[in-house]
Amino acid sequence: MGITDSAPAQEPAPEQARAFDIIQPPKGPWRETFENLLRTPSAVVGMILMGFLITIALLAPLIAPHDPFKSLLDIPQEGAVRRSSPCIHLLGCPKAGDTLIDISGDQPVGSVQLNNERLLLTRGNAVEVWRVENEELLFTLTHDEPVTAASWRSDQAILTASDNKLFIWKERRIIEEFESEDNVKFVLWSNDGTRFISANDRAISFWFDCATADFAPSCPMGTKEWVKEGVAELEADWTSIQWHSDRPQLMVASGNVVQLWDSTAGVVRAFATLEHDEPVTSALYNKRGTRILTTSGSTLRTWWAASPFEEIQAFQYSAPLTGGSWGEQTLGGREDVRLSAVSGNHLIVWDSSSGEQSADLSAGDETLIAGVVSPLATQYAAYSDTTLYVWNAADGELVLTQEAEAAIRNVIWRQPNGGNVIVHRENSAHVIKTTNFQYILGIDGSVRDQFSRLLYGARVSLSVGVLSVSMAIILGTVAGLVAGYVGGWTDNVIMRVMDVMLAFPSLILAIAVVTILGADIAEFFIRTIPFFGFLDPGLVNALIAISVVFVPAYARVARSGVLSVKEYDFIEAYRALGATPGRILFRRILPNVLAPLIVQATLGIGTAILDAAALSFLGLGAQPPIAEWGRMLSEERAQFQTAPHLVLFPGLAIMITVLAFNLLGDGLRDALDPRLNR
Amino acid sequence: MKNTDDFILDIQGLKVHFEMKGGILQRTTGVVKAVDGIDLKIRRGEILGLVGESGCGKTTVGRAVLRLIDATEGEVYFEGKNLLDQSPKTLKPMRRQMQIVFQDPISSLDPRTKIGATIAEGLKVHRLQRWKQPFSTFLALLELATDIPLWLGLRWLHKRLREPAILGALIGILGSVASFFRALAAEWDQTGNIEISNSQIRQKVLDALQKVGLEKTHTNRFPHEFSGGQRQRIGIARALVLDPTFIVLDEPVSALDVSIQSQVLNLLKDLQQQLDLTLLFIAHNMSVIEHLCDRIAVMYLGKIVEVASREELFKNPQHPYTQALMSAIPIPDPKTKRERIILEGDVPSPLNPPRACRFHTRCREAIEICAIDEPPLIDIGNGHMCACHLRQPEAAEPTGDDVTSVLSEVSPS
Amino acid sequence: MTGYILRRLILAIPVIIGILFFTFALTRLLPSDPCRQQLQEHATEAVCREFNRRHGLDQPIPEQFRRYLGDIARGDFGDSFEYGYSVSRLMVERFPRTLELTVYAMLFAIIVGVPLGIISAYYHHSAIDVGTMVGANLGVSMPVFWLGLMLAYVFGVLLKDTIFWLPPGGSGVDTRPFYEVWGLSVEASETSIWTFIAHMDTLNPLLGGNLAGFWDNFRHMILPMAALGTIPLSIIARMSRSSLLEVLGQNYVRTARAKGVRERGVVFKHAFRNAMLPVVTIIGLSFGSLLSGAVLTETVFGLSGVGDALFSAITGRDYTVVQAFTIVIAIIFVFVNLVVDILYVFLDPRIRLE
Repeated sequence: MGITDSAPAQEPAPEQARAFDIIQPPKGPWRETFENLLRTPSAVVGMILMGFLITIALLAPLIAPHDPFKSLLDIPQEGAVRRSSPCIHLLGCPKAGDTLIDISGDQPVGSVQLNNERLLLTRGNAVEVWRVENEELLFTLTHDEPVTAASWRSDQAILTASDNKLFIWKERRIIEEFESEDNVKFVLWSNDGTRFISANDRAISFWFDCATADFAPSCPMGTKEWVKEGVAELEADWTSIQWHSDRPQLMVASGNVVQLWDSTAGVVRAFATLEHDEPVTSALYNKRGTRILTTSGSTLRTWWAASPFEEIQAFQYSAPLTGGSWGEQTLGGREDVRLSAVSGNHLIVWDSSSGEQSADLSAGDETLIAGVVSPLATQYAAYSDTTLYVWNAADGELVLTQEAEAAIRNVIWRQPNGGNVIVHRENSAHVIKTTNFQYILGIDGSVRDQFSRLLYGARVSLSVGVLSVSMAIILGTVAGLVAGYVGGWTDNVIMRVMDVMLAFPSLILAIAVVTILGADIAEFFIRTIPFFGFLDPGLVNALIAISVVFVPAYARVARSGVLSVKEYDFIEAYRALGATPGRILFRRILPNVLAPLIVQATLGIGTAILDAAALSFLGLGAQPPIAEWGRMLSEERAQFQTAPHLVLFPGLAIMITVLAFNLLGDGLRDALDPRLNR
Repeated sequence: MKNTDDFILDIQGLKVHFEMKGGILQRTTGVVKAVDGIDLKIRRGEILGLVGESGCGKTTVGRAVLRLIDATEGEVYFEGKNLLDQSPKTLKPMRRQMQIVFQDPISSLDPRTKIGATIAEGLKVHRLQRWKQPFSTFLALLELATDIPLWLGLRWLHKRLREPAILGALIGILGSVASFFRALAAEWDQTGNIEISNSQIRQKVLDALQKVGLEKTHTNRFPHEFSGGQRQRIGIARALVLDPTFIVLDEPVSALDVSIQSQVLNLLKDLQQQLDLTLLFIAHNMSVIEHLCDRIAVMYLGKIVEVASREELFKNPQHPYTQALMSAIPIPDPKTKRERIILEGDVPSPLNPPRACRFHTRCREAIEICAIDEPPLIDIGNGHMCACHLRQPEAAEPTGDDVTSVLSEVSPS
Repeated sequence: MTGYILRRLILAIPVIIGILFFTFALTRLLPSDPCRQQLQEHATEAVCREFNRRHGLDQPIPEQFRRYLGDIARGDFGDSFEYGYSVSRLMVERFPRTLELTVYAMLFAIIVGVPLGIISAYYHHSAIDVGTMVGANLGVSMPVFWLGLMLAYVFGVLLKDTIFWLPPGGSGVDTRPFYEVWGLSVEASETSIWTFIAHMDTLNPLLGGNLAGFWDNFRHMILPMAALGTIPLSIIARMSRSSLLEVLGQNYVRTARAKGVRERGVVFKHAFRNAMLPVVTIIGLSFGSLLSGAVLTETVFGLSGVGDALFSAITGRDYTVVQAFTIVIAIIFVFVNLVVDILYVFLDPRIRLE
């Protein structure tokens, strides 16, 4: 018959077995998968990208140069200018002394003013308005005769003086025109924009817009036009004129006095006079308009700007002082007030609170004309006839010396955060960078460092992706395993529910779920699960919504896996051994259906990150100030035409992260492909 | 065949029916009578061969006996206890005594589990873990605790709400909570488990491997690193590790090369003798059966048609179906001529089996009665049982032409 | 075949009921009380009781659900709280634009994606192939809203004053309803099919013979279409490539080659039809991502479509609108999948035999 008695089983001799082991050590399916993965180039790229992202996410606090959640205006950091252009180190960022903007021409530049990142300058017959950020000439207001003075109101109305006439321009059209006295060399809007002055050397005319007040002493009944309230006649040529920041008061320094003028009573009058014994060389209000700084002779004084208009402090120097300047900043509630002035080739700085001289800086041989403290008081700038100097406040180091042939008329710090000075020379205006400090990817609308925010965003996106997919995979797998193994009605009910969920487009379902979830559920999660602590309620809601949306996908994969594995005899064998359904399902079937689940999960994390970003973009996910890429993008969306880098980089970050997971997922799918395995 | 009346397994009237479902509403459209009332007794220490064509239900018998498939009807007494009456809790310790070896060496081993773990699984399942006991008791109590308030609470809610939808949802939720606890309690149940240490488990695994002729080093490998014969040995080792007394061998050699078949069969025979095992050997190959079995049962379409000892059956097959099977055994001598009985037609569908004697549609000797009356399985002497109207002892044989003629009007053939 | 289609239709019914139940549950699960929500400070106890009675909120839940189903069957989705008119009217105003946008995006994705996939499969492993696949990988990883903003920046800002300039947002000129142009005296109520068609930005001027209006409206649609279509484009390109490659490796294709059929003939006559089967499925599934993406794209480009309405309804907590639009979008999605399933029958004769 068919069977012949043969020798008992012939197994390899022990020696052979050992040799076999050495050549080919036992390999597990997972290890094999990993080796396959390393052979797939795209998967390797994905793994490298992911390693990079995880490193960034973990080390974000160490790498980030700035606090991602706080406005840089709260921190004394020069150069943090709103929406500054992106600068990538490798491509060469501007350094201290580099000219960022160069506006030069043949005709002399009359005056330069900076308002809301726009530069206004007069040149010949024209007034030009430039956008500082990208050196763009926004518009030119052309006059018939040379423009002698111009001023800019906060609502962008421009006041110009030309050929004994005053013009008010709005939206590039003249809306008012007045006759003025001869030889106007200076015009200035008051801060509320209801008044202005026009001045020649000895006389200052006050103008008032009657349309802004129902009743004012200077307006004849029924007048709704500009009226000239009166003229302040001065005894000597004025040296400086400044409006008070809140009140309609004008400070004028001329001769030995500083006078405060007002016209609210219908008459132009000087209501206070600060007497000096020597000619006043400069006078300035402080930011809040509570004090006045004056220099006169070799003394720098501070005065109360309100009654009783008395001297507060006086600082003596060995030589005559000119060009006084305030340097104020608030640090942790404590006010740090510096006062500076120049004398000869020296810049002297005093500390107001201690009353001590805090710096005496000198440079070159030329006589300095004026000194200016930067808005955050971390840098001092001063200029002589042809040379600009900038020092660091902390150590008195001379950061910048810039010499040119044309004479310097004025130096203005770029507001509100410094870092750049606008230098007004004879025929030109330049924006010059004064710090080496960089904001690698620029600064967003809330004056936060975008680079730091991007780094922290990696934490948020990765954790949202991984957490939501883990939640979805746990729920989905359990549902799918049970449905597949138990079958019957359980299967029917579970899978029909999943079908309904799959019938909704994913984002729509997520939106619906987010609207159901109130703040309470998110709060509950944040309180009970310690790991959720660093996420905000909105983000937790988005996370829950995304995981709910993903559950059906995993349930389906798990179920189909179970259905195919269930048919194998080894499952029967486990049952015959007495293993309980739970043990079989979770310890024996689960590892066998894990491969497709892992692929799905890896791809799912990418999708989850995209969906979370989309929800945040719609305002349903992360709430400010959390640094979430989608949120960052939507916050800067309105300004994408002027600051595209603020939209570009968060989007790129999302794309790279999603790409990493997609590549890895595709690689895993190939590596775990049952056709290659076994 | 030591003690003739010491039956380890007694199958009485076992029926296994499967419902066919179809259509959108999943209605039952038919019943497959895979096993339709069989009686079989297996003596302690014997090897019983169960033979038949594929699709005759022999595999189903093997699995129903081990309760891997739920039987529709009948009793299966193992060591005097009805297996089909046992609850999962009481069944679990009994599982240690009866094991199974499968046909397909590929699908019968878990591809993601190492061989050592696969073999050790049985011991781990039955291992006593004392720390789980209180949990299991607690969970069982919880299960009860969810049942009682479920009932009380629902009555109260029903009065309050008069809201069938909410009531239905609550019943569903509470019911699933209760069944969750029930499942957990079953998971953690420790009744009847044995105390065994890790080192003992390891030793037992190595012993089992050694018994089937495998190496110690193999424990760390995965199934795909083995040949078919080796895998089948692993399957046997998995069954042996619990020291069972009864093993169902479900065509253990059909998927193997002929050369390896003999190795495995010899191994099985040796093991049976050494360990004093009782084997139910399911096969469709008569020559394999002849090589191994003490007694043989022949199945046709969910019914047992003949049971006899090996010598008796091979010398003197009684049932026409058995005779046809016998004639199909190839003889290695080209000169020997033998009449082959060729069965005509296919095996009828078990969805709609022929009435009365299932074989009458293909039987050469069929008479009218075969289509009307089902022949009982009767001892025709010498422990030889046969279910055929033509092989009944004289007394039982149908007599009288008038009966036949009357009945012939009814039956089609 | 009719049996198959019928079966698919019947199978869609429980899903649609499930969708309706889900959206119904949505309003009942919302954290805010509908009375307080709508009446704000006027919501006193008595007023709310009357409000609930009038809206049937005091009825048992199954009764409420029954009424809700009845309302929807009559096409009555309630009144929008924010717009002050019926949601059906809002839908007729908003849906045409989204429909056009989605269809354009889908056409764009298919017209560009399928040939790209075929070309990369045809020139397997060439620079074109690698380039397409890298592009497709980037395409599926991009956020739609970001792509939209970047396209708007490139075409609307950087290319300003060139012939490539495209409007970075908004919709084009209003055109006269086509039925007025035709001189038809149709009864164009606010929710009629005529109004629906007249609200289609590009179809309406085209029907009315206003080519300039069509071109202006179409130009406004180009960038949103490209932004929205990129993800499905990438998916379709990838799918058609891999599926064509798989089919090209099969024996019957090898046989065709051995017979001497030219390579182009092999691809287009023998392989193409079979390779397109999975692509059709993917196209159906992409519709879901398109509908999701439409919400984002419309927000970015300021197109007042469904997505835009949904977005403002969410932020304005106008739940009637959220609910109605969710239902309609989900049902559209179900039907698109149904159509894909039926399309399958025509493409794959094996299903017909089942």
